[in-house]
Amino acid sequence: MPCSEHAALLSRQLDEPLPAGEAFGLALHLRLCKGCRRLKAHLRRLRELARAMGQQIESGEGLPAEARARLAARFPGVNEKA
Amino acid sequence: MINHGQDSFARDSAAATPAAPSARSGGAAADAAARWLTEHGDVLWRFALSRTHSPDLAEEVVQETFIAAMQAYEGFGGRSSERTWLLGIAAHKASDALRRRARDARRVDPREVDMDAAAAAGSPDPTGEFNGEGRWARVPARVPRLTARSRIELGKALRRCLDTLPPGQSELVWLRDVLGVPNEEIRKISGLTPTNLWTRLHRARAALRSCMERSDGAGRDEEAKVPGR
Repeated sequence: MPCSEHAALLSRQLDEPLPAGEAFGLALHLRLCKGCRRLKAHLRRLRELARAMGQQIESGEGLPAEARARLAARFPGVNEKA
Repeated sequence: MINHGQDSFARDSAAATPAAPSARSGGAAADAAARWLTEHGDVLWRFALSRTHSPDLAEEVVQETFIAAMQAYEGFGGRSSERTWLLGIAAHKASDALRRRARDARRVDPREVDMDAAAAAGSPDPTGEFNGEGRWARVPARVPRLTARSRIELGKALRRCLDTLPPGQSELVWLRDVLGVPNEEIRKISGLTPTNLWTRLHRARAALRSCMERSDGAGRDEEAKVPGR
């Protein structure tokens, strides 16, 4: 399997476990191939930076009050149970 | 976004019109929207702001997301979590808002067409980094160590590079890599097959790496020049 296909597997591995045969083949390949080892490091770095951004999104300031008020007026709901 | 057959991302998102929802479904959808504002308004806002860098546009994106979601509400059926579903719509609306702001006519990126065709033909290399035999044309540079300062700089570079991705790829990276939405959820809301999703993410990440390397200034050429490394 050429590096171009291992590269696709490395990307997929970021998201889910690979089937056993492919995982094993990839692990062997990485021992021999500096290019693919470096690619793996790049992908991990990319993921790390992206998740840091994601954490800021998840934990940062929310809707400003005026924006929330405008949206609440636009989407008031109809269910006005007492 | 190139759609070979419209994926459900685009379908749910395109369902939006400014018209009010039908009277029959209107009540449930309207109540849902009010609830979404309470439960998901903050995360949708933060996501939209991250993508558009503009509070005004972000608010517009949240509004358009709710409108589209109300239109598509009857068909939603709980096939994914509500928040993921709304984020998927918001990802699309944010792309739309950015395109409108850029004032470009919607253009087909010819590279995207070629890559789609190559992927469809089962080409082993949709990213352009490999030679004809599938070997590295140039070995990637070593990943530099992170310092507090480089982390900030790289974060900014990632932001800029994300903005350069074509719409079909950027939503996927935002959902998967930035927000950590599981693959299965992304497939449910986008309608993409597993293979399509892997391929698009692979291409997107390759484009991001290439962009980040260029903005970093430390190119592969320097690595390649030093013998024996």
